[in-house]
Amino acid sequence: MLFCIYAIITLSLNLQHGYTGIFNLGLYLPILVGAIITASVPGRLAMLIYGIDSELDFSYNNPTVIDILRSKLANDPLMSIILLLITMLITIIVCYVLGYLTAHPALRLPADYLALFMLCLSESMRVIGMQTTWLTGGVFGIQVINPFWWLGRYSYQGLSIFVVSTTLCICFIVSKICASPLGRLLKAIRENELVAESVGKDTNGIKKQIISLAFIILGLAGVLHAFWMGAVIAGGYTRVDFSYWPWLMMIVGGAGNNIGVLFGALILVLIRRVMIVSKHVFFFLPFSVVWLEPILLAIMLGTTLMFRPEGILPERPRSIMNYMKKILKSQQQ
Amino acid sequence: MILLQIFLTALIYSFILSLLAMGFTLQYITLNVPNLAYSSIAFFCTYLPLTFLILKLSPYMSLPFAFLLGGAISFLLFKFLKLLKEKGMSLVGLMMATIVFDLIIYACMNIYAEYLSRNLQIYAASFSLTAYDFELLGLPGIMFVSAGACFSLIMLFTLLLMKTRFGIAMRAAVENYNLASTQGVNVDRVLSVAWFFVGGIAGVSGALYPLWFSMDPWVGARMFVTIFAACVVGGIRSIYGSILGGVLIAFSEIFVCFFLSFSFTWIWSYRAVISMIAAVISIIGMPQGIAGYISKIRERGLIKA
Amino acid sequence: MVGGIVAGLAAGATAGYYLGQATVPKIEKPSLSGEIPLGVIYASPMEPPWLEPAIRIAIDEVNEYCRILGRDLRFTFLAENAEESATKALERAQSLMARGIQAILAPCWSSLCKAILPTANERKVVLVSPGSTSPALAIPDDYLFRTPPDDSKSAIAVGRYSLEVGLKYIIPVYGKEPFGEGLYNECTRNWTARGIKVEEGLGVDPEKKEYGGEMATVRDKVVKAFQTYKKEEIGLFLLATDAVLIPLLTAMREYPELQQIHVFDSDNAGIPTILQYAGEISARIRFRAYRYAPPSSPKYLGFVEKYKALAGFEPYSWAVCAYDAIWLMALAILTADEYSGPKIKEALPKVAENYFGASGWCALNEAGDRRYPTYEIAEVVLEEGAPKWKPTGFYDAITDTIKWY
Repeated sequence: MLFCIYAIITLSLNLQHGYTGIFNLGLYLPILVGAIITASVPGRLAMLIYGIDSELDFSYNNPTVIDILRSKLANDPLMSIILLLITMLITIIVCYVLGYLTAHPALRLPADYLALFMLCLSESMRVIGMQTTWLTGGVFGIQVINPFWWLGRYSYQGLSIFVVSTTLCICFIVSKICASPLGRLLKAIRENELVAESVGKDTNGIKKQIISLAFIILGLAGVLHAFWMGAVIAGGYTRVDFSYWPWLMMIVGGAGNNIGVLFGALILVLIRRVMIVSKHVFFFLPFSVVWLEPILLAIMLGTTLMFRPEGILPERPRSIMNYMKKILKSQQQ
Repeated sequence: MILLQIFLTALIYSFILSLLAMGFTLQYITLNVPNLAYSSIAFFCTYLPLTFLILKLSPYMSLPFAFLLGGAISFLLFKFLKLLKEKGMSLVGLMMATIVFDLIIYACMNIYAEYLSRNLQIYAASFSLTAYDFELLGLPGIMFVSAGACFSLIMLFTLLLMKTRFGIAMRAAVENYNLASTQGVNVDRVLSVAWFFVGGIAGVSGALYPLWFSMDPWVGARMFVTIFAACVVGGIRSIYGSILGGVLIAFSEIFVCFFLSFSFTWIWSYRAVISMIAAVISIIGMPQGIAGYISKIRERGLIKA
Repeated sequence: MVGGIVAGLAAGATAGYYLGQATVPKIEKPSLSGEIPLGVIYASPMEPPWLEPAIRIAIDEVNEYCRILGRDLRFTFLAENAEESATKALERAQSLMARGIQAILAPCWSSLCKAILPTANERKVVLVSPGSTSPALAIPDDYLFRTPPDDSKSAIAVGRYSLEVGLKYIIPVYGKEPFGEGLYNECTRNWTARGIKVEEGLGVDPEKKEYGGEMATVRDKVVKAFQTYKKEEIGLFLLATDAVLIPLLTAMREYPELQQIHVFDSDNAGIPTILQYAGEISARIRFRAYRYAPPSSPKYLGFVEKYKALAGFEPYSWAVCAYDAIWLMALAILTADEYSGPKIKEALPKVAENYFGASGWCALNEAGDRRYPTYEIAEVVLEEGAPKWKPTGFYDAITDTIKWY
């Protein structure tokens, strides 16, 4: 499940940076927005639909409300799916608009400014999420509905299948985009924006669209993460977990290559799991094994940057010969 | 009377923040790489005054050692980045490389805090050395020391830049790396020393931090955005601008919240957002910062003249 | 690429399965012979030094008990660390559950318990927290049990204390963290019910670590209050963990007005860091705090001796609760005679009803939290020039009275 969520995040990052060359350190802004929408919308909507006691507040009486909703939604699969789809739809719309509004001023900035601008926005959102109780339960966090309660004791499996399916759909869409002429254009923008502009491409407009699309994908990752956790705690969406880790996954895997970034995500999620499971092996360490994780992460990142900066599965340059053959063949036909 | 106390609070905060911002800006303009490990380097040195206290020494005695420690770590980081830059690493890769150091320093800080907790029963996961500060004329000693450190480091740096051959070489290297090396400047050595110096500034500001604030191993990560905000508001390519930015951010955080709290008591919990909003507004409206804006006006004035 | 992700999932699942097999002893089936591992999730990397000794003492005693009973059983524990992150807490909990663990000593933080609880309920794994106190988690019939009392009990104690010392006007300052804000909400209700006027609480950002400005706002309110109330009738309540409390106390040094009123805190009595880092100001203002405190029974004193021998310092209340939590889980497993979450959940309240541990009588209420708490009130005083905690009173929840020493 964690691999699926990180897979979605790193694919989005690859689309932004690997393909388009946009340097974004604030990945967790749309993820958090997606999580906030999941925390705020379906539960409250369900309360309205079922006419649950209006004196109960979803945030302040969260456990009681969740209990009531569980009993209702466990017998109402249609409503559960509708709520799920509405949540995703609202996330798509909000994240698209947010991406566009954010990209508009940000794209005028140099790369490092843009990265840090996004970081500042993301931190602000995190602080606001943490301090605002009515929105996401503030520091307490908030439990969210499980749209698969109607599956009874298989609700967790149902959710897992949904997450995997969504991940596959997103992978499919992203791979199609990258293999299309748009994907080639993105690479052209990445390589030399001036040249792309000189042939009449609206590079700024395209970048805005890509950021908006990336925000949609990240927002959906936030929705899936929130449903998987069963709760949203705004303070838990930190830049280390949702920005630095995906960047590391992309660099280790290979920026510009979707298979590479997925591979990077897989390796790092596995390594983390292995470290959790086999930490007793490190009994000889004079310090808590918890601190081994950032050290190993740093060593891995440093080694990759020094010896294999292009990543384990680097971007494969398009073969000009194959492309020319294709053109000639089509002309002959 | 109350405004004086608030003013003093903001003043101490501004001295420490200005020092931090100055160091960040200097590192940025030397290599054009935002150093994401900068705040970790600074806050790693906060454990030095605690260590000195455990050894029954004054925390202020740790300042020279904090300078050396911060400088040494910064020097190592510079060497690492230089190695990567020579291999043709892009800006993104270099920023990622600073994260390597960030992670290692973060782990080391926590390991040390854990060591102190386990072996010496000193709870170092969250500590404050305010109680161990001296008082002068009824005011906390940190006010004088931070002011002194801030002004003396600025003076020293200004003299270094303007009056010494090394400073001129450094300015040349920052302006145009390749041209400076063709003129016989040992750019590598100049930048190494610059980064050492900047790391030293970070170390000193980190060592002063727990004498006013409470400290834990995660403060570095949290303060990074505030430091960046100070640099951006003041002018990320101007050292004096970043100092001005530090003052502005510190004062706006405290005074805006204080005056708004008369009507909205809850505003204090959103204090951190003020610096972020200031940074965002500055980036959008005035990317060159206040110092850059002032330079622009002066240039226009000169042109008109 | 779609094939890539499917392959990745398959590879990951296979690798995870075999790696799990290779490195961890597998639990074959629920069984009451051989080794029974309990899960432990620390909230923070700083917790093990003071929580682990209590866990080890409990595990050793339980194993000795099984030996006396002639049972072929050996309890062990598998520890994870949530590193103060909700996502990591859930990851670690899932990792433990995947290894077949049916009972977990949950993190001491309510926010982390909240992150794990939905999964624990789904997978029917029992959680017992020795430190979580948020009333938001006082949910009947779930899989979370808590050996300390929840904040609604603390609020009653705070309310009684406020009445006894003659407070008529209270200014609460709370850390915007689950503990501080939860207690603030409960205390406000209780003060109002007892007829005490409560000012709008000032929430401070726990990440900021410097509160000079915030204290200026509080000072402003105190000065206004002087026009209506006497100094001894005004109370400043600081509701926060020690990480926030210490900078709040040190910021008070700049404001003499705040040092003339009654300053009180929740749940931090006896904490050495307050003496270490804010001892002088605390002694100057006669800072008082309370903490959940077990009655001084021989069981408690015996545990303290063992703990001090192992750890080298006195146990905090969470450590005492952790010790009892381990005992409760073990006894519930022995009573149920099955290592199964639903059976442990069913047995645990009945076991707790008859269990008198180091923390006292562990009877639980319908939400699975401690029913009858006792609190000790302590004050910081100077003794031979050094700040020390001095017990001044004892609150009994059953009678809602304070016995002053």
